[in-house]
Parts: sequence; structure tokens; C-alpha cells
Amino acid sequence: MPRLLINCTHGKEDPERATLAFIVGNVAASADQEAVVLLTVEGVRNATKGYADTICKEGFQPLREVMQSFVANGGQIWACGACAKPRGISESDMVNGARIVSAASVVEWLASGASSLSF
Amino acid sequence: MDTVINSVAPGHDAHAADQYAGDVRAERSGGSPQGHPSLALPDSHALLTMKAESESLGSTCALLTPAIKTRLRELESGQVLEVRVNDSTAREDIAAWCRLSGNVLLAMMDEGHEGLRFFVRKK
Repeated sequence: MPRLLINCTHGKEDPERATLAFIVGNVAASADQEAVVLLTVEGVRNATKGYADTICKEGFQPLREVMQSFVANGGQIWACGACAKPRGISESDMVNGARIVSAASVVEWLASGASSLSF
Repeated sequence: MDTVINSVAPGHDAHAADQYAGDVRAERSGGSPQGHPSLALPDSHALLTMKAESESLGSTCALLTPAIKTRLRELESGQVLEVRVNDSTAREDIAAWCRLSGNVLLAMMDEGHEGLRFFVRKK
């Protein structure tokens, strides 16, 4: 099955980029593709409980709803460990369907043939 | 109403479907085009409607195929979902989504101002 990695680097400071990554991921997951949204830099905050609840770019679905739909369709949310640690974010802060991953896991996913797209 | 019906062979994309059906034009009569019994619309088991005027989002691009996926979960394999939209990008969206997911786009119908109708058979 084709693998995808969609990189999301933004949170509240850029709601459009934050949401678009999950929209693409959700379309991929709903088409039965193995889809991962990788959260890096400020994007890691999207994976923490409550953070995405207030993110809603005009003309888009609220981020929280898109994330929930993505997970319900089988998508995985990965939060970069190197980005999470300096922000005081740990595994217990993660929303349902999200986990903190190492760089090696990301490299392994890419090396296995995953295509990537970044927002 | 002047209606364009495209019967879509499994595995064909929207462009191929246009060629396959030869841009058949027929007067619609109770969902079955007169004089073209072989192009009768498939029977559907469920209906999904996404029209821009009822959606604040305008384009259905971000929502349409995930919504189809959700609706198909309620159906058995082999059953058919009818999808009605008024967003022309749905032609490519649904065809691509079917190619990726393995569900089958049986037919699509362009009803002009009324929008587009698609018939998707669950894999």
C-alpha cells in the first residue's frame, strides 16, 4: 500500500498551513493510503490536548474536526520528539491517535518508499 | 432536461470515461435515458448530497471524498452510493479517489445547473 508523509510545521500562528496538512492527510487516509501527518516545529503543539480546539481558518473545517476524521480513517499523527521536548510536551499531552516519534522512525518511513509533502 | 451520461468502465479515469461513453446525450426519463437502455443509471442503496449552497465552505474538495468514505462504511460490499454535488472539481476528485481506494465509479451524470451525480460501488 502506498505510504505518504505529510509534514505540518505550523500551529496557531498559521491556521491555514496547520489545517491544510490534515486535509490532505485525511483525503489520503480516506482513500485507504497509509498516511502519516508529521508535526514538527510549532506544529507539534497541534497534537496536544485542547490546542487545536480553537484553530479554524475561514473557509476550512475546524482543525480539531479534520484531525479526528483523519484518525478515524486510519491516519497516524506523529509529533517530532526533538521539537516536543524543548516545548515541554510529553506523551501524556498527546491527543488520541498521536504519538511522539524519533527522527529514526521518520527516516525509516521515508526510506520505505513514502512520498512526502510539506506545509 | 438535456443530460450527459457517462458510463465508467472499472479502472478508467474521468477523461477515459468521456471517450468510453462517447458523450452520449439523451433526454432523461425517470433516471433512465430514452433510447439508451444500456446506459440506465445504476440502482443506488444510499445517497450523499454535498451542494455548495448548503455548505459554507464552497468547494467540496476538502470534505467530499472523506464524506464518501464515511457513507460507504454503512454499505455492504457491492452496494452502490449515489453522490450529488455541484462542484465541478468533483469529476476529478471522485475518479482519483476511486482509483486509489479500489471502489468502482460506475457512472457519472452531468445535469448542468442541477450539478453532477456519481454512482460508486463499494469494493
